[in-house]
Amino acid sequence: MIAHARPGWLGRWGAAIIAGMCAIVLVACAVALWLVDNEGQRRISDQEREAVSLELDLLAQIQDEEGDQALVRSVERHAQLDGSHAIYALRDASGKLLAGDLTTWPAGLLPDGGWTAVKAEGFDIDGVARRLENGLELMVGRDRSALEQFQGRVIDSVWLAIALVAITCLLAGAAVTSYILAKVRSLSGVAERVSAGDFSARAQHAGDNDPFGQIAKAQNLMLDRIEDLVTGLRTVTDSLAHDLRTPLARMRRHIEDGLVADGGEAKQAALEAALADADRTIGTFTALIDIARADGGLSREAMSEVDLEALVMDVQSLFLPMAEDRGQTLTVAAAPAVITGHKPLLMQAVSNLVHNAIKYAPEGGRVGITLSADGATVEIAVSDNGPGISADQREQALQRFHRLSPGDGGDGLGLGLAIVEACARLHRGRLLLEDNAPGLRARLVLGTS
Amino acid sequence: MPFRILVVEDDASAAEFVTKGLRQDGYTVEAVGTGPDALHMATAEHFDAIILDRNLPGLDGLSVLRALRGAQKDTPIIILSALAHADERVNGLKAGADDYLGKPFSFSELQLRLDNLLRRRGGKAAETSLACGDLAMDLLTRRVTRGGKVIDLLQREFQILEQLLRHKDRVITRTALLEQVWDYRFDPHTSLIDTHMSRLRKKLDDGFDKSLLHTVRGVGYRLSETP
Repeated sequence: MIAHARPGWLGRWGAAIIAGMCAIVLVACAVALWLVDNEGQRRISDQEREAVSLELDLLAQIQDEEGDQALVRSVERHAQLDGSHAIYALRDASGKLLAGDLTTWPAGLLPDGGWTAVKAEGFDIDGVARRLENGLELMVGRDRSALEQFQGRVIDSVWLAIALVAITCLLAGAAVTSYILAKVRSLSGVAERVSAGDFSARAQHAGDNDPFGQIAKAQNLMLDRIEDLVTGLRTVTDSLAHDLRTPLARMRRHIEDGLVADGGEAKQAALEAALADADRTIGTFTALIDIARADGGLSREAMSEVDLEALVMDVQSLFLPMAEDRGQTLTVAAAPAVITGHKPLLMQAVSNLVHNAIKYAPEGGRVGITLSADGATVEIAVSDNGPGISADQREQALQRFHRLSPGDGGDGLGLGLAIVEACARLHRGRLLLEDNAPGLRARLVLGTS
Repeated sequence: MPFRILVVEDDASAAEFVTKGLRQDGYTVEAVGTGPDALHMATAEHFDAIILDRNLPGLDGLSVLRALRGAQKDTPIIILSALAHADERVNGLKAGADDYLGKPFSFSELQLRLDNLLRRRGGKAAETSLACGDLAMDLLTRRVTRGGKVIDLLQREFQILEQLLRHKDRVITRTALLEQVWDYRFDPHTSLIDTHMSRLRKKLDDGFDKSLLHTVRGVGYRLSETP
């Protein structure tokens, strides 16, 4: 018996799995976001630069076509309209600022010197300057802090989206894990109950479509088999204790009688009685082993081709004198049938059925053996015109060691029909007890392969 | 010269039971108790038959058997084992045993099997007739007479009588009869074989002063001129 603590809602294992999954997903998201951020930044600045150079072209064209005053006005207008995002500065050859957002020309920014990052009057500018006609110089730049602010907002919303997805995943993961854990726990719970000795424990399963349903079904089939074997073993043990004790006790008494008896004849009689008890004990023992081996499938190795027609004829020749002594007829109607089977067990099974029939058929009665085949199965039926077995007693009749009437002593070991049934199971068939109106009809149905 | 038999059995009381019985029957008997000893004895000396247990210290009986058969030793071997199930019997015969007897056994059954084995392997010319007193059986014409009078027997009755005649003066158990005549091994109800025997007895002994077929109470049957 395995001792173990009851796990919590998900158990340590489930929580660990979820935490691990979350960590992996978060790392993947961060990497993805970093890639998007970089790429986005590059693309955005490419676009900005293109726009800036177009703006420079446009303003240069305005100067060309409309003169310096028009250019100054345009720059003023642009600077006003564009807010703080775009930064403009226009100066003349003397260095005086004519228009724009700034009051002084940013230090370090050279005309036609390409893109330059400069700081001026609280702005963080990424700008480019161009020398125009009449000694004028124009700078157009972008305020980087505005761009970064925008980027920050985009990234924040992406993080929010990721957080939403992560929470959903977390909940879904928890749900799936707890579902799986519940199923696994129910299966392992069954196994634990069985190992604790409750062989009737079975897993619940709704259908075969769900994989857990398939496992549960397979587990239940296995448990059915185990329960059969264990019950069989228990019955055998109980039976051994009960039905072997009786003849052993009697044997012991006979031996004692023999020891104290006066005279050869009395000793002889005691010895004979003890020997008969010993034989009977061995017989019971052999029968139990036959049943146990057949039920355990061990006898399958010893199977070979069996000619059932010859077998029933042999049984007839064996029992004919016994039937005739009771004035009974023992007839055989057999079709040719060869199966892969366990010959000794089949012989014993058919013999038991015939012996029972002879025992229960009245003096002058009829006992018949029929053998018929229909492809997938072969059937050996033994019928008599005795009192039969009432419908409610037929199930009991198949139980090991059951005797139909308590007074039925003689050599009825009570194992007869149990052996027949074990034989049927070994041959993937079954034993059916039916009303022969009047009498009993026992049908031993056998699989042919 | 008497037949030499090797008895391989690790249980001392069982070994003594078999050895004593066989010596009383006039056999020369050697007994060993382990697998390696058995293998050594059986290869070093000549025996007419070996009676071999399966559960032996050192080397189990089936391995001894396989080793002997592998070494081209074809001494007749009867396995005598507590592994008595029909399936184990098949295993034993497959491994090369000539016969297989489950424990517990009756000594008369071992005698019968040993007799049959030695007769089969003896190389003697096949007998054509058997007799007991004024009872005669011709194995070629399958005719049975007693005191010159023909007795009509069914096929199975003939086979039963043949077994009894071959083991004249010895007890044959019901189980052995079932096995020899019907080739089936299971525990017959006493009354089953008895019905056959009472019919045979009627045919053999009715109308004659001296009966030949005797019931040995609790054990089996014996065919003999002396009661």
